[in-house]
Amino acid sequence: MFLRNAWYVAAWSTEITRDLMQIRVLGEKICVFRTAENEVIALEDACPHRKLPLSKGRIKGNTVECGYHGLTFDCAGQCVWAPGGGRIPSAARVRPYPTHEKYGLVWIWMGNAAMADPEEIIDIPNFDSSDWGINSGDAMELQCNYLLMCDNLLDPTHVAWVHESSFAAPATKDTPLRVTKTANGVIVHRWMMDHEPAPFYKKVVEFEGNCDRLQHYEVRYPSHALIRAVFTPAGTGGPDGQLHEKTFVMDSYNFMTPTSETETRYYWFQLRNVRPDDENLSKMMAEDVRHAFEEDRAVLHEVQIGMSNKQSPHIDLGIDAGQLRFRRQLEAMIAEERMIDAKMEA
Amino acid sequence: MPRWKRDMADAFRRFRVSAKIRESDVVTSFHLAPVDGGPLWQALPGQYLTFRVPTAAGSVLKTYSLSGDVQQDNFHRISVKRECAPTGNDVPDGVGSCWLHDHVTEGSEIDIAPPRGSFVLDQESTRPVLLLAGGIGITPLLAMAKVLARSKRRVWIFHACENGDVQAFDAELRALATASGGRISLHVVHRQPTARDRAERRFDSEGVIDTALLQSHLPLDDYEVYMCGPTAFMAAMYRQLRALGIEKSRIAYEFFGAATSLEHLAEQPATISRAASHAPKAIAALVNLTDPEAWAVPDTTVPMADDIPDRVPKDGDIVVFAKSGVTAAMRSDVRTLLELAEDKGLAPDFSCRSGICNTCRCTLVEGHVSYIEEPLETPADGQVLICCARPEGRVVLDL
Repeated sequence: MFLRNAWYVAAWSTEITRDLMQIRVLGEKICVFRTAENEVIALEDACPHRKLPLSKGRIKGNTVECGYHGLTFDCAGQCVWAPGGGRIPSAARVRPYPTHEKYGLVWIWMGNAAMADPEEIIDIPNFDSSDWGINSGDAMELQCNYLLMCDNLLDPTHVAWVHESSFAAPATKDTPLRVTKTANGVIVHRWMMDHEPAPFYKKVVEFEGNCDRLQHYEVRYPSHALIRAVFTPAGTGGPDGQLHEKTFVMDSYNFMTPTSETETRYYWFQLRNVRPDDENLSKMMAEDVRHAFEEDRAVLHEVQIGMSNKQSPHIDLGIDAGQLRFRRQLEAMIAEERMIDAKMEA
Repeated sequence: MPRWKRDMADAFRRFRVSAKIRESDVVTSFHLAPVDGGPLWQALPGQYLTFRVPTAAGSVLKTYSLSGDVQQDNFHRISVKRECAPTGNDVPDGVGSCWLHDHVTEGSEIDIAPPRGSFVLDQESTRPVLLLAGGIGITPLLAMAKVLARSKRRVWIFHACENGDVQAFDAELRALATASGGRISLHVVHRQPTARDRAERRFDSEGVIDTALLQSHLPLDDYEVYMCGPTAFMAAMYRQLRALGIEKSRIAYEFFGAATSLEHLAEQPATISRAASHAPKAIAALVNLTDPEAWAVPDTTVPMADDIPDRVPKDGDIVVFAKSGVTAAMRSDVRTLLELAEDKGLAPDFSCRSGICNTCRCTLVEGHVSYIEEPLETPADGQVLICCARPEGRVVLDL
């Protein structure tokens, strides 16, 4: 079950070159490459003749030639050469997918192409700000359904057990959560007051002593997360806090692309408001984050197996409220999309 | 431009404006016919079309409700109020309506994407219908009224407007009511009628739609309500409908612009934190940083134990745990039926204690409850989630 009228991350911009490459998004195989003019093209990865993936063929200028019988397709997916004396069968075309490059990522639209509007790609206000540092983006393959990762990113509590050496602090165990439904997703957040910063953050915050800490876990439909961490000297945080000048903010952007029902490609990068040009800091943060996300990957792989092979029912806890509300709304959006598609086809 | 991108743009179907009709001082209708000569789109009453609006900074998408008869017209019709005071940061609200009013003429060709939206008339239902419109919010409701005119359902239409000069579609609505033989009632409310409105008796009531007005015109019944209008109008209507005892599930509404929840708006206007204004530059770039609820346009905030003020139970708030043979009066120091049961030594099943897992669901044999947290799924009639419910009067539980 996927929302189709949405932008998903197809790849890092640097991953797509003049070479043909297959990616998988929502269970569909897609051939991606760049034109001579550096435009990213995404085509259904199956020749309409015998369904050999076009990505197994050759790029010829700005066209793709099937490696079996030479059927050749242009960037709109239209066949421009086929065996048979120059006559091209009317059904000789493959589906093109709209793409758009932004934030160093290639975004792909999986639904009705008429509705693809790049303006709807998530807004990242500080991406180009010289006041903010960024640690280079990364990606990994998760052996789980994308919603399990969405659950994880609406769950500030798991850090207490999964990320003991990085994000955890005693307060992360049982400080109550607040759940907010927004127009485009769900936010689960909490302030934890006056405690020692967690190990990962202790290395980067620029003040001594205890902190007030905000965990802001937000996932927007279909599967894009903003995890905001705020650390401010104890006594200056909280909902009405005045934000001490040494306040540390890290915005972690996380994009989950379902490759199939049981696999997800997970992309991320972080923005921070301190030492924007400190490359060593960026490198250290990137490594630590990658290490922590490997911890999530290991847990979620096992959770996928466990939840798909249940021998007894699972239970839901109060800490799951944000995740379940997110899933429920997404299901409703998917159902609405299907209803409208069905009406339009009828 | 690569060819597929041109094709994508072409997939936005091209329509020609076959008529541009002034409906009031501020509202103009556009009749749209497909340039390709193909059939019109199938649309449901209440749905909207998406328009590609050219601006200096590239095109933007704007949506307008279909206002015509979506089953019988041989064109699509939208009706647009000219918003002349643009507000907002990026794309002014008025950009689409000014373009339509000022630049689009009969014969103009524009790009439109197919009907969308889930604010649609339930055509299977036979319940009486209440259509509540504020100003230009009449457009999707007019489309519904035209379909309802061919049904057997009783229909009340209330249209609140500033005055008769800005009011649109009076004649169309009157014609529907007149032809219905008393099945469709129309009631027009002018907030500040002009001298001409008074002279020509162009309104039925003066002021606003309030509870007394609704009560005096509506017999007690099991209505389905559809409403659309400015935010303040909708919040006020929602409060009144709830006060009249109309179930939330029977109230459908559509915002023009940013969507939010009426339930929330009706209760508490969102407050804005100004903390960010004191912050250093790199932090000040974040709006309302410290309180996500203030800047996230909250829709449903799930209350936590700490937020819930002590509720003083009324004298008659008595809970009978029938199977256990225990009767207890509700107290102010327990929040829920579950806590009361536990306090009395009972041990009902539970898991989440916050209305999402249904583990604690049990049969409500008698009485009424209220929820201190909105359950993820509303329990069926006769069932109750005791982990987040309180008694309203005497309650008998199958526990």
